[in-house]
Amino acid sequence: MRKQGAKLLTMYWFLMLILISGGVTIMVFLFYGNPYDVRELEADLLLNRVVDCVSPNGYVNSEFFGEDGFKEDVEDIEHLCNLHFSTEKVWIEPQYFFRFEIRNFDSDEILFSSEAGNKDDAAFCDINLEEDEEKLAKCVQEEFYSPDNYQNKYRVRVLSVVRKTEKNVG
Amino acid sequence: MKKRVDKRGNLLPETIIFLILNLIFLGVLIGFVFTQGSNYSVYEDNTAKEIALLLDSAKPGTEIYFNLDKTASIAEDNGVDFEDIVKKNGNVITVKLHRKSEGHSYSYFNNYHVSMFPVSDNTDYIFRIREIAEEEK
Repeated sequence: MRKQGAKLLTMYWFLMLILISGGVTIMVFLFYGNPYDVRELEADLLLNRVVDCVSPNGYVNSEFFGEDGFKEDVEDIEHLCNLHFSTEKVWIEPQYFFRFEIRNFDSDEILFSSEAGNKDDAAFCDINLEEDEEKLAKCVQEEFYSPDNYQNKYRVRVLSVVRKTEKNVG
Repeated sequence: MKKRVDKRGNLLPETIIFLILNLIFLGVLIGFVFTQGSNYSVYEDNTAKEIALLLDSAKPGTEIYFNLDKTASIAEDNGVDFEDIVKKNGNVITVKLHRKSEGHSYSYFNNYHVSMFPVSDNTDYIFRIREIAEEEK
């Protein structure tokens, strides 16, 4: 009877060992199997870069103004902001996107806007700004106040998007 | 009296064997976790991303000393020279820590001129960021 009890205990012990090692193995593979997701940091950095471009030294960039007010558009905004959106060979489309809008401070009317990168990535931003869906592109949006050199006040809204899902989500 | 001695004599080796087996199991488990943690692939991916993010946040005139102490020892164990760990192709950074690996790549979006070279003491890489001259653009 005692021998049977000891055998039963050994079986339980082995079962426990198998369970523990299985659990640890699964946890280790889940942790190290997934790459670190840096897209939010990247989107933050891109946003900061765009903010620096739209409002260098705290005033709206003079490149956006023509003879009478804002220009219709600015050619090659990516280049103007010192950005370069080519990526690794695994992707054909750019993995970045940004858009900024300069609005009238009081009426919120859009006076000037520009964008660069892959617009498709921004399509799901309305969902992703509210709930964190890791398979979707990461979006970061900020709004700030900036005057121009003549002390006219503007609201500037900037959206930055980073996709790169394959390299950041397991 | 004789019975008690036998009992003790049997109990001790059983307990010791049981403890040793448990310790071996624990050792194997800890060894497995550490091996997975120091896997070169994880380091390749992390280092490439870290460098790309540093370059994204850098402004012209910045000089970055990037320490690769731990990474360099992994590369050395896997037969990769220190000068070959980090490569830059356009705006893509590739980190390779195993001679059979193709390395992990990550791109940065900063459009500045980045020059990069290893320091002779084999621990640091220097990244210099400067504005691209108008004629180079």
